[in-house]
Amino acid sequence: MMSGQVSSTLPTADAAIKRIALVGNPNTGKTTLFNAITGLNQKVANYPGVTVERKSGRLKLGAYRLETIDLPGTYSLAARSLDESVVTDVLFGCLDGEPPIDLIVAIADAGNLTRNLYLVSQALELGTPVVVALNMMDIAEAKGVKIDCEGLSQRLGVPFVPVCANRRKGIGELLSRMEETLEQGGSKPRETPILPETLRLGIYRLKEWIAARSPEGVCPFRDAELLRALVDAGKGAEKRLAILYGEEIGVCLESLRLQVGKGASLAAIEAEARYKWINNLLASYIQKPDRLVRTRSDRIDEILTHKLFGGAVFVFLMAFVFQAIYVGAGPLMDAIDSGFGFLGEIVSAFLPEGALRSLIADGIIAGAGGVLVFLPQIAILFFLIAILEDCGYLPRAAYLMDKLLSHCGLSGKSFIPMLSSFACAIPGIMATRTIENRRDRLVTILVAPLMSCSARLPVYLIFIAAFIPDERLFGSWIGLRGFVLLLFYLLGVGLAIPIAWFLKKVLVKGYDAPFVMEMPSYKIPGLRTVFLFVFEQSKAFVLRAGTVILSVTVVVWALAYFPHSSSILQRYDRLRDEAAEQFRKNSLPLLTMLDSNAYSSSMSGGDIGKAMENDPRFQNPSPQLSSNETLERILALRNSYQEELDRIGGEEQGELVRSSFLGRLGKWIEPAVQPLGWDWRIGMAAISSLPARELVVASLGTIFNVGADSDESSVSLRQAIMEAKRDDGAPLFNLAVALSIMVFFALCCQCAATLAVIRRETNSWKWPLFAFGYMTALGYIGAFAAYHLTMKFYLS
Amino acid sequence: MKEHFLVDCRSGASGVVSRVGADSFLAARLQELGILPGVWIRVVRSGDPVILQIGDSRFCVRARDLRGFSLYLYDGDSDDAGYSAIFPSELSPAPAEPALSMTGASEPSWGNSSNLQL
Repeated sequence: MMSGQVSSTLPTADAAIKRIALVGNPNTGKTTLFNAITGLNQKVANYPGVTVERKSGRLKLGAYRLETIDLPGTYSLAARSLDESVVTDVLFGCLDGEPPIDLIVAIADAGNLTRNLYLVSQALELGTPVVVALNMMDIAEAKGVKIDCEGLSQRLGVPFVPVCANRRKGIGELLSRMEETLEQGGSKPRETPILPETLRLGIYRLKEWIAARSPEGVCPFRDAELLRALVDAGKGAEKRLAILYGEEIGVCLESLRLQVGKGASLAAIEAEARYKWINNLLASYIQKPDRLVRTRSDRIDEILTHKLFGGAVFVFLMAFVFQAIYVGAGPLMDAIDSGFGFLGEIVSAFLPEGALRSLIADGIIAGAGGVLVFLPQIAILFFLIAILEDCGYLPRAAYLMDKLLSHCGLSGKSFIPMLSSFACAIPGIMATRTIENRRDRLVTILVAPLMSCSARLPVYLIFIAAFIPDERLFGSWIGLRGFVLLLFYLLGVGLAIPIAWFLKKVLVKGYDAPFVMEMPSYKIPGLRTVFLFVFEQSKAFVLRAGTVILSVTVVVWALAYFPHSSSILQRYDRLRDEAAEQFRKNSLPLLTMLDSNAYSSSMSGGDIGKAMENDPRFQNPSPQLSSNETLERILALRNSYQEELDRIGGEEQGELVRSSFLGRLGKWIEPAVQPLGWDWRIGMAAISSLPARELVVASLGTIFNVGADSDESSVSLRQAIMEAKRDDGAPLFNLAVALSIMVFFALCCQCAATLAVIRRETNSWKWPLFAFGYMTALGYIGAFAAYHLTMKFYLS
Repeated sequence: MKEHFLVDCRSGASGVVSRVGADSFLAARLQELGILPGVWIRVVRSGDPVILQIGDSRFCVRARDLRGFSLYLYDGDSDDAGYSAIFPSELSPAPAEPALSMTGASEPSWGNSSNLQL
C-alpha cells in the first residue's frame, strides 16, 4: 500500500506502517489470534483478481503502525489450492498490490508441534523476520507436553512465545516480541533446516542458469523461491519464472529434477529432510509422554465417528440446526417485516401521494425490508456453524457425509452449505467458504439454490390450499397436502444430485484436488470468535448483497409503477365520487331523521362517513346499536359503501399494474409462458418476483385486484385465484396450472439476493448468470412437463 | 512384522509406514503432513474415508488416495494396540529401524536415499 515513493510525500508516520503476515496450519487458532491482536478493527476484502478473502486489521504497536494480514491456513508453502498459493505469493511478495511483508508471525499448535514446525521451517528460509506463537499451550501441557520455548528461541534466534489465543493469554508478550523483532530489523534466524545435497545442488544449478540469463549476472531470487520452483512441478513459482525466462525454464527444471532426484520425488526428499531436522531439533527441547494417552477427544471421536451412533448424533444435530433456523428466526423475521411495514406507513403518512411516496415506501423501504428479513436466519445459521466449527465437529460431520456426497462428485464439506440452503440459499452459499477445493465449492454454490428455501413455502402453501384436496392417504396417516409439500422439498434435492454430478464432470473441469481433512481435537468454542464471525458475516451480507437486491427491487417497482396514467386515476376518482353520492342519497334521509344537528344535507358522502366514524352511536359495540333499527340500517349502508370503495381501490390498483410497463412486458412474454398453461397475468407475476420469489404472492394479489397486502393465508386471494377466468371464460387456474407454477418456482432462481451472493463469492458475473440461466431453463422444462402430464393423465 | 496395505487395515490397527504411494500429488501432501516411511501411524477408522492418526493429529483421507501406502502392522490386540505401541520415531532420530532396512531392496524410488534415513 505504501511504496517508497509515495511515503516521501506523506507524513513520516505513514512510512512506519509495518506489514505483518499471520501464517499457520489450519485449525491452529490463527483467526482467534488475529482477532485477539486486532479486535474489531478489521477489514475484509478480496485479494486482487482472486476470490480468496483477505482479512486485515490495523493496530498501533509502540512507534509502529501495523497492518496485520490473516493469511489462509496452509500446511506447506508448496501450494496446492488457490488459498494456499495466496499464502505463498504474499510471503514471496509477488502478489500484485501486496508489498513485501516486514514480519511473519507463524502460529503453531503446541500440541502438534512436529507437524506445525514444517511450515515454520519453510518460513525461516524466506529471509523475513519470524516470530513463532505457540498456541494452545494449556491443552498441550494438560497432555503432558513440555516445550522449552526459551531454548528454542536461543537455538534458532527466533522468538518462540507461548500463547492461549482463546483466553487472550500471552498476547502482550507476543506483541512486545514482535516490536523487538521489528526494531532489530531483518535479523536472520540462527539456524535453518539443512537441505539435503540433492536439493542444494538443484538450487545451485538453477541459480547459475538464471544468473547467466540476467543482465547483471546475478540471480534475483531467494533460495526459498527457487526451491519451490524446483520441487513443485508446474505450480506458481515455476509459472512465474516461465513468464520471465520463457518455456526454456520448464525444460531446464525438468532436467534438473531428473538429474538431482535420480527418479525419486523431490517433494518426498524435501519432506523427509524437514522432518529429520524437526525431529532432531525437538528431541532436545520437547518432553512428551512416551506413550500416547487416550484423550477425551479420542473418546468423543469413538462415538461421533461411529457409523451408527455418530450417524444418529449427526441426524439429531442437523435437525436441530434446521429447526433453529426455521423456527428461531420466525418471530424476528416477523418483527422485521412488520417494522418495515410500519416504517412504510409512517412515510406514507408524511409524504404527499405520488411517485416519490411510492418509491420510498413501496420501493426502497419494502426493498430494504426484503433484504433485512433474511438477517435473522443468516445470523442464527452462522452462530450455529461457528459453534460447530470452533468446537471441532464440522470435520466429523463432513467425514460422515463424505461417502454419500462422493457419489455426485462432491465431498463431505458440501453438506453444511446444502443443509443451510433449505432455510435460505444465501447463508448456504456463504458457508461454502469452508470448502477449500475450488471446483467442489463452485459446484456446491451452483446447486445450493435448488434446495427448497423458506421463500418457496408461501408459493407452495397458497396453491396447495387452493387446488390440492384435504384428503388423507394410507389410512389417514398422512395428509395429501403435507405429502405434496414434501414432494416439492424432495424435487430440489433429487435434481441437485445429477446436476452436481454433471457440472463436476462437464462444466467445472480441472484437476481433482485430493481430499485430506484434518480432524482437530474437540474444544469448547470461544464466544468471542463465534460472535465476531457472526458479526462479520452479517455485516458482509447486509452491505454487499443488500445494495444489489435494493437496486433490483427499485427497478421492478419502477416497472410496475410507471407510467401511472392519470386518465385511469381520474376515471376511478369519478367512480369513487359516484359511490359517495349514492351513499349520501341513501343515508342522509335516515341520518337527518336521527340527528339533524350533526348531519346536514350540505355534507358530501365522504364527510358523512367521517362524521359517522367519530359518532359514539355507531361505535361497535354500542348499547344503542342493537336496539335501534335506523342505526343498524345506516351502518349497513356505510359498510356497503366502504366495500364499494375497497373494490374500486383494488380495481384501480389492478388496472394501473396492468397498464404499467411490467404489465405490457407480461403481455409481451405471453407466447413464451403459454406452453406452461399460464396467461400473461401469471407471466407478469413471475417477472415481478424476480427480486424474490415470495413476491409472486403479493403480485398475484395486486393483479387479481385484492390489494397488494395479500399473503399466503389470505382467503380472498385464494378465492380470487380459484375464480379467475381466462378471456374465453374458462377458469384460469386448475390443478395443472397450479402444479406448473409450483414446479417453476421450486426450480427457478428468482432471487436477486442469491444471485448477488453468488456474484460476491465467485467474484464474477459469469456464475450468477449461469445459475440463473440453468435454473430458469430447468424451471421452464419442469413446469412444461408438470402442466402437460397433469392435463393428460388427470384432467383429460 | 507383516506388510499390509493401509486401506486393508482394520479400525484400531497401528504400525510403521513402510512405503508411500506412487500418486505424487497426494503423496507429497501426505508426506508434508508427516506420513513418511518409518513413522508410526494408527488407523482410527477404516473404510472410506479413512481416519488416520499421525502423532497427535488426525486426518480424514479418501481410500483411493491412500493406494500404494503400506504399513508394518504392530502385532498387538486390536483397539488398545495403538496406544500401547511406542514408535517414537517422530520424536527422536532413532537408529535405522529394521523395518526400513528390510524394504531397502523392494523400494524402487528410495534406493539412493542415503541422506534420507530417519
